[in-house]
Amino acid sequence: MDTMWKLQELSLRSRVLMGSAAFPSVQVLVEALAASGCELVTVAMRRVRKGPTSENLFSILTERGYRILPNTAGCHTADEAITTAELAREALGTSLVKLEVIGDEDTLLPDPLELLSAARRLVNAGFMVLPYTNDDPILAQRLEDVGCAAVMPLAAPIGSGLGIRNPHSLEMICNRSKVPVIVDAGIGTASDAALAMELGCEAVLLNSAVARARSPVDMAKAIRYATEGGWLARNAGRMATKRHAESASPLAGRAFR
Amino acid sequence: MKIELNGTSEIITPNTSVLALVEGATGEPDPRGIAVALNGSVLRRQLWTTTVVNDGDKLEIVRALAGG
Repeated sequence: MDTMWKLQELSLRSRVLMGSAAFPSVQVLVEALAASGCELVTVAMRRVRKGPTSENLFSILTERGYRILPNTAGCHTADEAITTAELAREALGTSLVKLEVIGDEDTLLPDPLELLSAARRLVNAGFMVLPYTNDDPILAQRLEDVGCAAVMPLAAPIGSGLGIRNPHSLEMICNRSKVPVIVDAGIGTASDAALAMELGCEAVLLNSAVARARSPVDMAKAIRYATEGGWLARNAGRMATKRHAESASPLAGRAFR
Repeated sequence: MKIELNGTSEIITPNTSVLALVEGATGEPDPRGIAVALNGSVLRRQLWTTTVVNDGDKLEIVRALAGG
C-alpha cells in the first residue's frame, strides 16, 4: 500500500505537520519533532530583537532536514498576509505558506473574505498556499478553486484542544475536495488525530496538543501512531454498524446445550 | 537623520546601507534567514549592500521564530 501523499509536486511520507511554538525548551522541541516523524514544521515571521539571540530556529530546523512552513499568524488583512508571505519566501527560500488571516483576537477564527482574497493573490504570485480555514465546505471549495495546494479546516478554535467539533462538515469537505485536506487547529489528543484520518483527511497539523502535553515527546509519538492507525483504518474499510448484538463465535456446537 | 526601524524611531548617519542596519539589528555578520521590508515592500537580499536608507524610511527586519 502506497503511504506517500502529495502537496502538488512535493511528496511526503509523514501525515503529521508540527508547529514549533510553546515548547518548554528547544531541546524538547527537537525531541518532539523527531518523535512525531513530521517533515514539515511551521514557524512565524517576527521582528528581530537585539541582544543575545535565542537559538536560530531557521538553522535548528534546516540542519535537521525539516522543510519549513512559514505562517502568516497575526495577520488581519489580505495585504498584511501577503507581505508576510513575501518576507518569509525571501528569508527562508520557500514558496510554501500556511495562510492565516484572522477575523479577531477573541476567536482567532479565519476572516473568510480576506482569506479568499489573499489566497487568490498568493497563488497568482507563485506561492504554494495552505489556507487555515473554517470547517465550511463551500469556503473550502472556493479556496480549492483559486488554486490552493490544500485546504486546512479547523477541528476547533486555535489552542483549544477541543477536538473535532463538527465531524460531519469535515467529512463533507474531505469527500468533495480534490486537494489534500489537512486538519489544522483544535486537535487535543491522539484520538482526535485518528478520527481526522478516518473522516478522510490526508494529514493533521498541530502544535499545542504536543507542546502543552505533560510529556510533549510521548504525545508526539502518540499522535504519530494515531495518525497512521486512523489512515490504515480508513483504507481498511470499517464494518457496517448494526442496531443489535451479533455473536462472532458460531452458535452451533456449543457445549452444555 | 531619522528612520523607523521595526516600529522604533532611530537616528542614523546618512549613507547607511541596509546591510549595516541588518547586521546592527541582529548582532550577526551577514545573517541568514532574515528578510527586510523597506517602506512596505520586500527588499531582496542582493540589494542590501547597495541600498542606502533615506530620511523617514520605514524598515522592517524579520526572521523565523517559533510559531504554530
